[in-house]
Amino acid sequence: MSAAVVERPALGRDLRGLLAELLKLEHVTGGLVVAPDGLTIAADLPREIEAEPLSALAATLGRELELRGPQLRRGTFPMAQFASVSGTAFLGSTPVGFIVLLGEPRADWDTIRAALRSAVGAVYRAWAR
Amino acid sequence: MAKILKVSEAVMAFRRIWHMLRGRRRRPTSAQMFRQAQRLRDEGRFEDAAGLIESVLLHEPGSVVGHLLAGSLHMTRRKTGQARTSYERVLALEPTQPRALLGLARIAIEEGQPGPCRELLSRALARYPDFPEARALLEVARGLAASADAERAPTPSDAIRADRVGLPAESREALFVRRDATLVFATPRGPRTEAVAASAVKLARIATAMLARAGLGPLRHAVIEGAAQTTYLRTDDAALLTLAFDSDVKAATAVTHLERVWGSCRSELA
Repeated sequence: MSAAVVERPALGRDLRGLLAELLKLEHVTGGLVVAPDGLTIAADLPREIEAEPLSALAATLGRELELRGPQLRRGTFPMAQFASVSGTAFLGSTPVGFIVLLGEPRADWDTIRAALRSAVGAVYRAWAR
Repeated sequence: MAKILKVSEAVMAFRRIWHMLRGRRRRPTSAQMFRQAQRLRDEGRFEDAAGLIESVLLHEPGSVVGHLLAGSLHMTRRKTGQARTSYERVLALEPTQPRALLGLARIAIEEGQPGPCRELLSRALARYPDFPEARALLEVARGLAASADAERAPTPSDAIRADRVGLPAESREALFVRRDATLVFATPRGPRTEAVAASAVKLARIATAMLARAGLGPLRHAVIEGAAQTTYLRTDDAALLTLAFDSDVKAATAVTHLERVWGSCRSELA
């Protein structure tokens, strides 16, 4: 997955395609791409999860991290993950918005982080042109 | 007959030219220009999209759609002040416009003003009760406002001494705080430490709300990558611990430290 994204920077422009690639990762149950103003750009979530409220909160969280971070340091954060006992939400920051992935508790954090990092990089490269 | 045909051809040619000229001169409608602006935005040409919207608004300063699009575009470009102006213009034209109220509420929450955020969202929901984004954000704003209003537990600064919880040598910064944002200890401690503690609690509240909306339970762990450091967070319903490490420290090592220090902190606090 990560290699595929690196080799296909054009994929960074196709946010729906990018999300679809990330959703192929094992134990990832859903995800979305949301603009910084909270509007959903793309979403593929389990039926019981509403996209709009999740997008609104993901964008709020993403902005909070961009503005302050946990240590009140202004600047970008490339990626963060938030875990409960029932699963993990991964959040990646890009110029066009935030990528959110939802993982089961048994999901391999390192694998997902590496793929998300690669996807974030692809978006940066594609949208910087 | 041939002459009649020639005249007819000339008339047709004239009509074609006339239509071409009219077509060229006709200004696209604002709806067409807004669609074009959205296309430009989708292509990542934010400056072009903003310029196009601005040109429409010059001719139609009372366009609610135009100001809304401008606000959204400013937010995408992280230009919060300009976004606020756009949303305020929308509300001057249409006082209960839900997207503008939501936009301003989002800015209020970013600026640490949960009270005004709550008021804006309540206005939006009073007019449009079926507005899930506003409802989700209102829950967070209520929690943050309650936390800001709450009397904090009087915790002496040496309630837990940092040297008793065995902070790892690799840790660059450590913070232990109650969930009502009362600081228990921080290493190093400076003039902004209280604000950092409040920020960490706010972050945990928003993350917990997001996890709940994703069908997951309350926040327990977080890892936040920064440019030079990675922050590891551990929390429960009562307290929150963060440890920051240089980015080259392995995640497994950092998490082991985090769990050990968390256990010590919770024992000391009990």
